Amino acid sequence: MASLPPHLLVAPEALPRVERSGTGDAAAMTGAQCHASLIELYGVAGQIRARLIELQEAERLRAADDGKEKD
Amino acid sequence: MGLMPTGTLAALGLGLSVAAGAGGYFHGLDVGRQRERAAAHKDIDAANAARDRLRTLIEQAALKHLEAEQARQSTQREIVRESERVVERPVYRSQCVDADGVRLLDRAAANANGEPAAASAGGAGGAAAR
Repeated sequence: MASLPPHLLVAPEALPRVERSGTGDAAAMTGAQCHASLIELYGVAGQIRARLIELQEAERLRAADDGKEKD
Repeated sequence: MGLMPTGTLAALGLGLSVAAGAGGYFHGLDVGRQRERAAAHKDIDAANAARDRLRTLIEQAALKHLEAEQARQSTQREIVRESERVVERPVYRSQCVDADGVRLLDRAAANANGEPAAASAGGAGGAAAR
């Protein structure tokens, strides 16, 4: 059975923490930081989603090939 | 030249039969082994061909996904650049999330990343009071 491409086996990127000004009780976000954080979050989520779709397709190909071999 | 005794002739005949039988047996054994080897080679070749075919399909799919990922990243960069321009407007300078909100967002991120700290991290204690 062919193995999956290595880039599909890499652990997914961790989701980023939101941008902020200050720390602890003084931490707060401006609208600009909120906007940038959401865009970054969508970026990482999009990357993880794309990899999941690719993994699912690779698995479908493997399953279809297994089915062909059994026929 | 005298005639051979019947016993000797019989023994000779028996010996020849045994030798022929053994020869046939070993020849058959050899042919069987050759067939077995040929069948095993055929199986291995078929498995190799199937694996190569699958690898090619997966590589083709990976190439298609790589192109899609490059397009996604390019659009993401474009969005980030545009966002930097948009947030210069005064409305984005006002505060929209306070410390409790930030703590909750950090907890949500830790939870999404499977960090054990997410469950026990201090919540937005002050949020409910406000």
